[in-house]
Amino acid sequence: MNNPQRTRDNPPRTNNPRGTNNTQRTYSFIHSKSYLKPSSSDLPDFWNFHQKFIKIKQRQPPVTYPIKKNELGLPTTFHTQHTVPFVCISNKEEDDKQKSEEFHETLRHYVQFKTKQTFKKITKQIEYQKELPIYKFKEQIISTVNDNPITIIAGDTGCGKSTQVPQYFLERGYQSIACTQPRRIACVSLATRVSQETFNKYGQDIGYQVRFDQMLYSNTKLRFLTEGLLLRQLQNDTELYAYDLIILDEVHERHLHGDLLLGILKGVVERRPQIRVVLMSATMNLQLFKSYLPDAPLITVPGRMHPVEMRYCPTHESALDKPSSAKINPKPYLIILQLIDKRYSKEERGDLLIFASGFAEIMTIAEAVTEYDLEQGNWVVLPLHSTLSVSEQQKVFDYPPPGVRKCIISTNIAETSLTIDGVRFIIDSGKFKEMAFDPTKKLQRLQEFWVSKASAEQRKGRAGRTGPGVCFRLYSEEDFNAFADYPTPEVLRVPLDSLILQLASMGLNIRTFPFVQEPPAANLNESLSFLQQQGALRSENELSGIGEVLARLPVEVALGKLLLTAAVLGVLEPALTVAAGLNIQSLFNKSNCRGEELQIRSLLESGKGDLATLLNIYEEWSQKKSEGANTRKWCRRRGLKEQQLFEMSKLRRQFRQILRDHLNLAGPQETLDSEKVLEIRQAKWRKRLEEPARKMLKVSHGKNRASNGSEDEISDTEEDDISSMEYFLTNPQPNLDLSRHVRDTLNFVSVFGLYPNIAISDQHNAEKKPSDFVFHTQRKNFVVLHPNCIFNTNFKELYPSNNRAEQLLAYSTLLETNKPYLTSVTRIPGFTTALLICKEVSTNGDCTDIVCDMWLRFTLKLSAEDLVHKAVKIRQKWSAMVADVLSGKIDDPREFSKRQSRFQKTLSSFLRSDVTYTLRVVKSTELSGLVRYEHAVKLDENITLNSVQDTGSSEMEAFLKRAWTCKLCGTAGLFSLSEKSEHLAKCQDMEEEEDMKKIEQEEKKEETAVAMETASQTRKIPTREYLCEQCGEVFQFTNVEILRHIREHDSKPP
Amino acid sequence: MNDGGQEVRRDLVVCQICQINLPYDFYGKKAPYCPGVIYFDDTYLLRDPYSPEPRVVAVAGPCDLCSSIACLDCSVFYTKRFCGKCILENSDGFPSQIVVGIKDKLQQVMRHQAET
Ligand SMILES: [Zn+2]
Ligand SMILES: [Zn+2]
Repeated sequence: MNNPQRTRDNPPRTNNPRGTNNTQRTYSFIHSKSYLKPSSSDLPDFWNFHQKFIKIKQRQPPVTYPIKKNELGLPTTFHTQHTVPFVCISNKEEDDKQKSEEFHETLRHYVQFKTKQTFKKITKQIEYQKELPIYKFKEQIISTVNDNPITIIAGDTGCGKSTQVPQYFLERGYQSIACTQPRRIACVSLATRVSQETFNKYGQDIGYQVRFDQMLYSNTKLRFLTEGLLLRQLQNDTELYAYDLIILDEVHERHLHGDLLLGILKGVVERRPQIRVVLMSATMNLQLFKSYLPDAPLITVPGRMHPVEMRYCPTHESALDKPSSAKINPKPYLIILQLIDKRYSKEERGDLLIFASGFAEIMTIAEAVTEYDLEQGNWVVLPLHSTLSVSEQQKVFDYPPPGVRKCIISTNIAETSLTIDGVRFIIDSGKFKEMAFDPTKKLQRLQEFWVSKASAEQRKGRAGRTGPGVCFRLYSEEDFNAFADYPTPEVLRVPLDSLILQLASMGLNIRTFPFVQEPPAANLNESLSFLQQQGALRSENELSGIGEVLARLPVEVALGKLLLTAAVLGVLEPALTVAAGLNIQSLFNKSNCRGEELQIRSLLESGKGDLATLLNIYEEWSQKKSEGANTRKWCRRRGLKEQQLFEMSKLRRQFRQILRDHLNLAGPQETLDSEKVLEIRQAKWRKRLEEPARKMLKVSHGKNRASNGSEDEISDTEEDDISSMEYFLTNPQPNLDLSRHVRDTLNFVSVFGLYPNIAISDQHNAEKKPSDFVFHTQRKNFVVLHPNCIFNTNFKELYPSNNRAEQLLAYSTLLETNKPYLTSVTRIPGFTTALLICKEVSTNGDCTDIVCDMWLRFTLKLSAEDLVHKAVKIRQKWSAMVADVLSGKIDDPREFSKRQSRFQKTLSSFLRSDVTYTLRVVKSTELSGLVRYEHAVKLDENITLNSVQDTGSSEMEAFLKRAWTCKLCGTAGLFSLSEKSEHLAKCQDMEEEEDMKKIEQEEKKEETAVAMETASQTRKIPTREYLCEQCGEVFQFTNVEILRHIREHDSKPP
Repeated sequence: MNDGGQEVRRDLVVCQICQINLPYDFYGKKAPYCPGVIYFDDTYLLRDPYSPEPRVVAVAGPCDLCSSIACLDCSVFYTKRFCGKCILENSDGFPSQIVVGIKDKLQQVMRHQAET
């Protein structure tokens, strides 16, 4: 009661309400320390209020003093001034008291007005949350979880479990909650949603963590992260001590990582009973989880769904029979669009969601609907699939102008992962496409399947989220009844390589692992033997040194092997680019690429193949970026997706970081300015929070394609600026001048990484048109080049006229759509490469007939004995380097890098050896008895002499002494096979010592050259005149220097 | 984020009239992140979740007559904060503008509570 504040009871010191001639600039109350600052984002809002308030105020009589009070001590005359419970103060004393009073009076009412507005929003939000079906279960959920280590919450779409359950526990004081999601996009959007719903938008309690991106603080209490990331964390924190509650969301989707987490957490709970685990699932297939976790209580929450009218409209073409290359007929879709237009008034809102099976189908339907809309003018077409960028995907959430319906054409991505409000109509093709893995052929097949009953119901349900809806099924009720009950979980259909490695690295045995559903034994055995063959596993549960590193790399085994080998052999930087390129979706813009773009792009192609081309593109792009060129335009002119290049730069950084963490390697100095990157992330995050959830779609009539090039570009530029900034801060200057031996080593490393994914040309290709070329892999004959492969146009590189040796083709995947395709192909000299990478190399007695891995057969006119012996030496050196890196024995990085460079030179000249041979596939009829080891001379683990049983007798060869002259030292005499090998080994050692001396001399020359180069380097990077507006000086700067300069200003207050 | 610096502790306050649970981060006359606004009495304060600027809003406060906590909707400030119940009980002492406003709101609350 005893408040000395003047505004409550005492009159203002001056009492003159007029003097309204105040313009905005006269207010010196707005300064850098006041409530409203010149930079405040709400300043315009305030002035707006100010204008209106002045008018109202003039109508109201001023407070008369002294104030008369009644028995409650309240003023008897009502005045709005008495209804404001606070004062606004300014740090600066004003000369003009009257103006000051007046301004602060207005400000008080403004703040009061805003407070009421905000309070209304807060209560509305709280009401909304209370109305969600899950709210009724809040207390039950909390107490059940308190009392049980594992709880299952089952609820269908619309019950609110994903957004609400994590906040319930946050509210109850849990200090560290992890909530996993199968998809990256869901992590970010849930973190945004929950931050807003808990009124925590500007706090630090809630964060997210996905592959390239994270928004975490030291005091973050709830994080949304991908299933894969939590698995990675388990490798270092096997009992998950970092968390007190783990929520696994969408476990019914049965992704490989999710299944793995389930099994692991089951064990963690037994060892650490105080941890809490919540599994959240749709209501489908609950029996499976119940029998898997019989002790876990189950809480079932009803979904919120409006009735959906069902219409079966079979198309009379049983589409699964036709060849998958044939285009689909968009007619049935158009008929339904017409029906919607006829039957439902344009004033009634409601959008259409079409479930098509794949990208090609989406494009065909989109084209047809766009054409249909040319007459109608009331549809806006929005394709939706996983290859779109996040900002492109976000468009489906925007709302159309009145009278226009959205026609979203989607893959099964909209089935569960993306929830779009306002959908009233569904057209369900009943089909989806999925990569099916064939373990025996090591082949990925993109196949079209009928969906399961559960998926079909899920699709239907999407129409009933906001009101009653209609679902048109392009199949019959009988078809539906024949569908499988549930989709096939990943564990039953994908390669298990990385799963086995991850389990082994956590010390878990795959044979005894408590799977929800056991993977097929054939897949498991295939993966186990593959990993042993790759040297990643010593036994079924025991990782090798290489395997330990591979288990930690978040990439496939092939890519991991590539990166690891590149690090050992000193070509990591370019290999990071190759690996990143193999890990992203295609760089090439499929839909928007004409002949002109293709032609300009072809200048970047490399005769070595797709990987080297990828490297060229990335390097050229980086170069353009560091020159400050308009790379967006540069990419567009070449039909390239710049977003994917940015993605590559992020991946490179991530890979480099992981290798640095796990290997004892010296690399280029980390240029990452982590504080600055954090700031960039915060800027991004804040921007995301600022953005209204939905925007109005821009529609130009007659041509309602929302994804039209030019519009995107404007909206994406800000995102691009952030990406560019991030790029410059985290990437070293590109190195365009890789020497021949570095390029050869890189090429070799790529091939070695991809091995055993090797193909050879058919013997008859030379007589055929390039379009008819076929190739053979070890497990599948007659495969062809993927249409994106550069050898389609550069086929001459495969069969050069100057009698270049036969090449091996390494590929990243064998992908079967309408034909079996080799993707991401690289060529390399066949014979010398096979000697270095194949597991089993066998020769006949005089090294003219060589069989590798029981499928490649090289025939030579002259003996390859010196090459075979050299190969043994190179393999030895190579594995010694691997061992040194893995055991962390590299004390002197400079010395090691010399060793690497010497190795590269040896390797390069070995690969380029002048040798003539023919190469063919071993016929199955030849196989039996072809390779036998009784009389073989074993040179190392992989290479044996005299083990191929050709025309001669191997038994005789083993004991017979033949006349032989050593090419290296000229010694002539009678030698047995093993004597010859011994002699060759010694002679090659001596030869090498000679070579060493030469190399050392060369190195000295190079060093001086490098020193001169560095001295002149500053001149080589282009600079431009730069006028800094902040310090007013003119500099001659490179782009990077400009950024650095701006940063210096930013960090120092002016 | 960058402003304020100190960690803000979240808690919930319950309105004793409508039972709504409201988040707040300070109880007092002012919040450290927004020193320019000073309340006359102790109030439950929250950083405005919808403004990028460090703004403060009140969500609830104790009634000057009965000391029960009332949210912004269930109370009125008229030189002091009064809860809706006290205003209706002492309606003669309050200007009619205030009594009319709170009467509607309180009836709504009562009806809602009777339903559940
Ligand atoms: Zn209330
Ligand atoms: Zn009261």
